Amino acid sequence: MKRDLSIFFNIDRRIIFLFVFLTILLPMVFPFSLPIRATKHVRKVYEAVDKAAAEGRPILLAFEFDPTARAELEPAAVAILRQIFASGGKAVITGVLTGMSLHEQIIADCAQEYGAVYGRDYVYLGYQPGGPALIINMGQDFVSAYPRDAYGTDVRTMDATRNVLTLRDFGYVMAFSAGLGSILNWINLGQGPYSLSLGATVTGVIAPDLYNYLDSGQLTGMLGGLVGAAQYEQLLKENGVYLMRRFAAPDFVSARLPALCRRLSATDRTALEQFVWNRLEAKQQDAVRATVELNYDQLSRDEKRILAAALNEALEREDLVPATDLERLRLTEEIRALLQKPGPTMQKGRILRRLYVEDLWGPLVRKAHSDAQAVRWMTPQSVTHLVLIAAIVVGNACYFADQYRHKRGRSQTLQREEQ
Amino acid sequence: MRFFKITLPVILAFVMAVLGMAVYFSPHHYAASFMNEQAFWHKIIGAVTMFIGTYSILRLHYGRIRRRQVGWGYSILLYACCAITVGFGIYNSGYGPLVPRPEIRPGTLEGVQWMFNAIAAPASATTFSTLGFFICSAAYRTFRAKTAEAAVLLMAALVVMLGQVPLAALISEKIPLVSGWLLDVPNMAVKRAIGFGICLGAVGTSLRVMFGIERSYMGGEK
Repeated sequence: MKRDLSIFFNIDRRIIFLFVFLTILLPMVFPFSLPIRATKHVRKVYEAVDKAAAEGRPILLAFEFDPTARAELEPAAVAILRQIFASGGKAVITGVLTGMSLHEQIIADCAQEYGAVYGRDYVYLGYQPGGPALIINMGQDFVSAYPRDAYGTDVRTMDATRNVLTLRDFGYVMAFSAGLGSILNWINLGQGPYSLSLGATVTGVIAPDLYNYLDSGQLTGMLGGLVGAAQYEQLLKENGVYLMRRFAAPDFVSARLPALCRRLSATDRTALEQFVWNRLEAKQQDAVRATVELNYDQLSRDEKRILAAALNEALEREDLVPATDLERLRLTEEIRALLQKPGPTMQKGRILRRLYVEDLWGPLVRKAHSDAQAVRWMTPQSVTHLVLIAAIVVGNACYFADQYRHKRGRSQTLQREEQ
Repeated sequence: MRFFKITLPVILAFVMAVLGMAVYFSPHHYAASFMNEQAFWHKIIGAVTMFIGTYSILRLHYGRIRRRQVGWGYSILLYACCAITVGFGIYNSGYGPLVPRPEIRPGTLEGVQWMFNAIAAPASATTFSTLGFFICSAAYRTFRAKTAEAAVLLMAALVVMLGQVPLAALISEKIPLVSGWLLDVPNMAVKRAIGFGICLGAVGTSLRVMFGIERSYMGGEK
C-alpha cells in the first residue's frame, strides 16, 4: 500500500504528458456537444457590437496577436467579424507585424462568407510602430496615425474610414491581446481620455486580471480565452448569424475535396453545379481534375476562394434551384424558427439555397449552422479540465493519506520505544 | 563631462516628464499637437531600438560562439537564420533569390512571407502549446493543500476551473454561479487592491526618475 500511494504522486511526467495528450485527442476523435451559455460579460460585447453596427458607426478591431496566441484569440476574432459583417456594420482592423498574414487570412475568409466588400465594409490598416504612442496618436488624429491602409490606399478615400477623424468616431473598440500591458494601454490612453466603448478579448490566463475594469465600466464586455469565444459563437448561432454565411475557403475540408471535385467535374451536373463549373477558369478546372485523379487536395487557398466565390455567385441566382426543391428541404425546428424571424426576403432565399447546396453535397462541405471552431474545441478543453481537477484531488488525497500513515507510524514507533 | 553624462539627462527627463503630464491633462490644441509630435518621435525611437535589439542579440551569441559555451551550435544556427532571412528580405523585394523577377505576383507567398508562415508561425504556436502540458504536469505534482490558506486557495481554484467548463452546469447549476461570484467579487477586489499598489509604486518611481533620484536608466551612479 505504501508503495502504491507514492506511485501516484511521484509519477513520471512523460506519463502525465501522454495522459493529457489522450484527454485532448479522444474528445476530438469522438466529439460530443456541450451546453454553452453566455455570461453577462460576453453578452455585453455582443450588444455593443450590435449597437455600433445599428448606428452605422465603424468598429475598431485591434488584432494585437500573432500565431502564438492564435488558438485562443482567432475563434473570437472570426466570431466578431462574422457578427459585424452579418449586421451590415463596418470593421476597421489594425494588426501587429508578426501576425499580418494570419490577420489577412481571417479577414478575407470572413468577408467572403458575408459578401463584405473591401473599402466599403472593412479596411485592414496593418501595422504601425509606436505601441502606446500610437493609441494617443489615433485619439488625437486618426488619419495621421494611419494615413494609408496595409495596401497603400489613402484611408480618406474609403467608405469605412472616410468619416473617422479620431478614436471617438468609432462605435466600439475591441482589443485582442495575449498580454495584459496592451489592454492596459488601451484603457489608460484610449478609454480614459476619449471615453471609448472598449472591450477586450484576451487569453484565459489574463482574463481574471481585467475583472476590476469590467466592474468599473472601463471595459464594456470581455471574451476570456476559448470559453469566451465559445459562448460568443453560441450567441451568434442562437441569433441566426451563421445561417447567413456564404461559402469561404475553410468550408472545403481537404479530406472531402476529391469527392467534391468529382461532383463538379462529372457530366451529370445540376444547373447550379454547371454554373459553378463554368465560372472557373481553365487553370482552376485543371486543378479540380487533378484533385480527382490524384485523390488529394490540389487546390491552393486562392483557388478555394475562387471556388467559394463561384458558389456564392450561384447562391445569388434564383433561377438555378427549382422552387419545388427548396420547399422539399428538411429543416430543423431551430432553423425554421430562425427563418421565421423578420428579415429581408432575398436573404432568406439565399439561406435556403445554401441549405439546398448542403443537402445536395451532404458531408462534402461544412454546414453553415454547424458548431464553429471554439465550440468544437471546448469539448477536449472541458474534458482535460475535468481530468486535471480529478488528478489534483486524487493527488492531494494520496498525499494526505501518505502523511497520515507516516504520522501514525512515527507515533507507534515512539510508543514502542517508551515501552 | 559630468554635465552631459548626468546633469543634462536628468534635466531632459524632468522637462519631458512635466511636459508629458501637462499635455495629457490639457485640452488646448497646442497640447494635442505636441502629443502627436511626441507620438511620432516615440515611433522613431521604437524603430531605432529594433536595430539596437538586433545588434544586442547578435553580439550576445557571438560571445557564446567565441567562448564555445554550451549550446554554441544554436548560436551559429541563429546567425545562419538571420543571414538567410535578411538576405531574402533585402533581395528581390522580399521574394528572395529563388524566384525570378518576372514571376513575382502580388499577394503570393514567397521568400520571407513563406518562411514566416511555414516555419516561424507553426514553431511559435507549437512552443506556446507545449506550455499546456508543462502546466498540467506542474499542477498535478505541486498543487498541495499543505496549510489552511493553501487549502482555501486550492478549493477556490478548483471551483473556478470547474466553472469554466460547460459540463459543470450539468453537475450543478450553482457551480457556474459560485465561480462567477469568485471572479466578480473577491478576485476583482484583490486585483483592484494590487492595481492600486502597483500604480502607487509607479507614481513613486516616476517621481524619483523625474527628480533625478533614480538614475538606473543611465546605467547607475558613477
